[in-house]
Amino acid sequence: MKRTVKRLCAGALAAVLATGAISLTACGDKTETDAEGNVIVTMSLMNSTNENPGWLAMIDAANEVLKRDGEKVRIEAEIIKTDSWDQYYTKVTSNMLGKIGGTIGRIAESHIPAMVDKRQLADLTDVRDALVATGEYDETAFDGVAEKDGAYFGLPTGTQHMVMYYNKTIFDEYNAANPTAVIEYPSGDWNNASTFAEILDASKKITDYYTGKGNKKFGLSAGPFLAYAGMYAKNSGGVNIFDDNGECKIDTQPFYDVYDWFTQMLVVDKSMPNTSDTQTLDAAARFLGGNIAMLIDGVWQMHDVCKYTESYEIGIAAIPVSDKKYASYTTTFTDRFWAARNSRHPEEDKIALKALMSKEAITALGAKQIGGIPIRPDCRDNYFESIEGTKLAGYADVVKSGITNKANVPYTTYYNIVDQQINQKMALWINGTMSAKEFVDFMATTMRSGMEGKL
Amino acid sequence: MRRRLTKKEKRENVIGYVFIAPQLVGFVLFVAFPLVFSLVLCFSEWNMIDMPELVGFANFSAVFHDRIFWKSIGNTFIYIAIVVPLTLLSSLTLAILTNRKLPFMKFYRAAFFLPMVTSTVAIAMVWTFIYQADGGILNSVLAVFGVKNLPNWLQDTVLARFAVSVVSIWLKVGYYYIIFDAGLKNIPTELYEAADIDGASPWRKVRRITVPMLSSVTFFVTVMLFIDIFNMFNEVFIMTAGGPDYSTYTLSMYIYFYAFKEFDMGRAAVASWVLFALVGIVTVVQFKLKKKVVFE
Amino acid sequence: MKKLRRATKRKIIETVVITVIVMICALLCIFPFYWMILNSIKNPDLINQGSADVFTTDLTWDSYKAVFAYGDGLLWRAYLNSFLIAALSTAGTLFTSSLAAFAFAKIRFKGSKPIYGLFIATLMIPGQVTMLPLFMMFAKIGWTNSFLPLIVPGVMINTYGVFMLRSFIVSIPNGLLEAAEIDGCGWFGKYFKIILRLIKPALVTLGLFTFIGSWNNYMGHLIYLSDERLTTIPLLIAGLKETHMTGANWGRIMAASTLSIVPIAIVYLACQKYFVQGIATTGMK
Repeated sequence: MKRTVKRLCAGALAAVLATGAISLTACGDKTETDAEGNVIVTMSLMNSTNENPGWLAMIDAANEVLKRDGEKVRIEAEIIKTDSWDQYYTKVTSNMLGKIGGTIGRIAESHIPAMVDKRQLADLTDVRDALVATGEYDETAFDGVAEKDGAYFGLPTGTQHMVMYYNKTIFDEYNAANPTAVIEYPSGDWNNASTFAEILDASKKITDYYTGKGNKKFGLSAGPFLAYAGMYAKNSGGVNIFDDNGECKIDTQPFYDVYDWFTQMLVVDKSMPNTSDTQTLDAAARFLGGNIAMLIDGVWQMHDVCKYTESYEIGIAAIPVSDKKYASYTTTFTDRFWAARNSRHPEEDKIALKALMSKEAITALGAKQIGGIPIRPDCRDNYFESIEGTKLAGYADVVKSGITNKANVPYTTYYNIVDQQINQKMALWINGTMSAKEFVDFMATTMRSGMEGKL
Repeated sequence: MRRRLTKKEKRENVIGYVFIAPQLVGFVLFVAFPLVFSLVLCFSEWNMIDMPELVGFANFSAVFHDRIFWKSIGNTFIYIAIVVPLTLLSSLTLAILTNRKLPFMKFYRAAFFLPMVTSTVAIAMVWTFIYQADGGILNSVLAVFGVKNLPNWLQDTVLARFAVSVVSIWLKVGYYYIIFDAGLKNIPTELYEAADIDGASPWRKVRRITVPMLSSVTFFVTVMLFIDIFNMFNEVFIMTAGGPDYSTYTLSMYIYFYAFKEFDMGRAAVASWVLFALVGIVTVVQFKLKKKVVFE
Repeated sequence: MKKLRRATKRKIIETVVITVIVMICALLCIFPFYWMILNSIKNPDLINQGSADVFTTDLTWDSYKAVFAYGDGLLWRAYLNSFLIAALSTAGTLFTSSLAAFAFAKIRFKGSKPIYGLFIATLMIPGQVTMLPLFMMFAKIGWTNSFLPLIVPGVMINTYGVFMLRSFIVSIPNGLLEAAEIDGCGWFGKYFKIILRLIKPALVTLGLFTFIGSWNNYMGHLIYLSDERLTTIPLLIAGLKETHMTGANWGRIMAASTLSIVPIAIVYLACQKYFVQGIATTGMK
């Protein structure tokens, strides 16, 4: 009897200690202010050595705006060191739970549905309405994944779309050696893009030419991933994963055609690096090092392309199409700014976000070519002009006309797991265990199970 | 009749608790409380901001209807089937072979054990590099021997499991080698001398003396190996990320994915309790078997 | 006489054959380390061209220079952080677990047996079960992005350490403690003057295991640390793989891997005796 009592006492003591320790540390629920009495709003940013200067410049500019407008709010950056958006999201969520770190931040569009679904985000509808009312932003800019039940959660700042970079030096070298079978540069016209067949042919020729010469090269690198499947399907006359009624249309001819095209390069010609090749050195690094002639990648690579390709001339082209009769579409990602729902200073967060979306802040960001093409109409030209001063001068128009043919990725709460299952299966298709058709059918089934919530 | 405690005994009681206090508090805070908490999580859905919501058995049903979950359990048993016998065999063989005077003894021990102390992250990267299909040392060696269709080690569902298992065995051999070695040193030499007089062959000595005398050590090693494999994470995470087609995915990775990528804490908690149950069942079964197998 | 000579001859052949077999195994075991070091000093261009020569003379320190220059000498910070976490965890855990082990082994207090039983029962709990609630607990109290979650739980609870040290302390004869008591030693005196001295080898072993475990703890660091200033060696290496640095990726990863393994390898080679002792005793008990 006595023993039980004692044990209970010990247990109770420990429990008290535990709760004590937790509540003590959790008591720091205080709004931080600086020496001048301004509320400090911390903004979470994903670390990237190339991009940090741009984001910091944007925050400086926003702080100037706040000062000018007499707002008692200042923004500070919190740079989170991670390797991927997934990990960044983990850190942001744990910060929200612990009420430390950023109460506002930037995140890739792909994570917005999950954050909205988990009710982690503050309702920013009034910020959107204010920005539209002043005429600073177009109402159409606010469509997409961040809306739920009439409320708006993730503010779009810039869009990043896919383009095809090509190494002119490699093309020239090949053409000089093969004057009778010249290959042309890919087309930069989004309404008259190069065809799958033309690119396939160029890719094979370049690969074959360099094989056995001691400096093996690949013709083309492009990701056959779910995020880009919609873009290629549209370029073959199909739909962007879902049709207008929201039905999954992956198992249709345009998708089969696209994956046949990939199979030819990845499996048959081996003119495209496969997952095992890119594990040693990723495709972008290979392209920068002159190991790949053509690379389909986002406009976020322009920065590195300008910086790291001293010995090569680089061009930019439109995404290829299966037939000239189709216009070329491009997968477009929209970066978002969010605010945490459990922030201690929700109003200040909104003031900070408005300042970050101001002309001054977005201009400062665009001047460093970071954050993609500004959503804000009065900052766009400024962004394209900044390209003129670089190695890619002359291709600003190609980049610019790409934004009219957007294909957004249909992100949903189940998108991540569908994407993971498809990527896991991909090796079987690339090593030949599965045909392109079987793989596309698998994509369709997985997407449907995701829609039914069965994953 | 309860005897009254002497002053000294009372003091001893207090001192005992003072001495174990840090560990006891730690136990409550960092073991007992999390255990209860994770049990609660199994039955709830939580967005990490508001209070957890109780959802009954929804998480269990989600996990048990998940193809990937069953696949990761299946993989665990495949790993057990490959890694346990091979690790046992290789560490025992090495221990028996080196249980005599040999030159460079210190070097062998250092070499066998070095993998164990090094960072798995760093060394898993090295292995990824070794397994590289194009330009990896393994395939280059195979090419020298005239192998035509060079395997793509980490991209093939069957080969990837073996490739990961080899790394796993390589990491563990040294540890179990030392345990077997210590076990061998405890076997009385008289037994072998008696066998020599009877003219027993070396193989017979191993079978009739070494193996039975080591049965309790072998038992311990097997239990430890099972637990090691249930917890396998780092090498897989770095080398294959569970692929291709989840062929190397483990239960630990499943838990990690749902806990820290999807933030589906309920599902992760259920999976972690399944892992706990598996470890528990295997250990209990093995201890029951011990009574029958182990030679005392 | 002849028979004897034949026996010796057989013995020599046996030794040679076994030496060759064991030597091959040992070399296979350390080959990955050789490969790592070789590629860290190999000319990075050779690696990118897919050259897999086992020997090469085209050597350079470029990869190392790149790693040291990465992020303005982030490597030194990572070394310092890793060392700090490992050293604090080790010192703390040695103190608390030896105290508890002493109490469980030599002090007669009520509830000693059931509490010890409870401790041992939790030895089997897989880390994944408690990892998740612990993470949420530490996030809730705002300890994420600090070293505390990586140090405090390890210091406060180490069932393996208690288990191992207790098995050593139990074998210390009671007579020694009684003699100390006659000399006027209290329980703390006995702990500091007798127990700590006598279990030194066990403490060294446990200390080494804890230190290495902490040094190599990738998962924990990955979950809890996000500030670049808090980066540690495992995070730095894993990060190098993802970082977009043009060319020479593998050379740098190999160089960073080598740099991360070297301190531990030195510690291990210097204290090999204690490792062997420690492992051997856990196997026996």
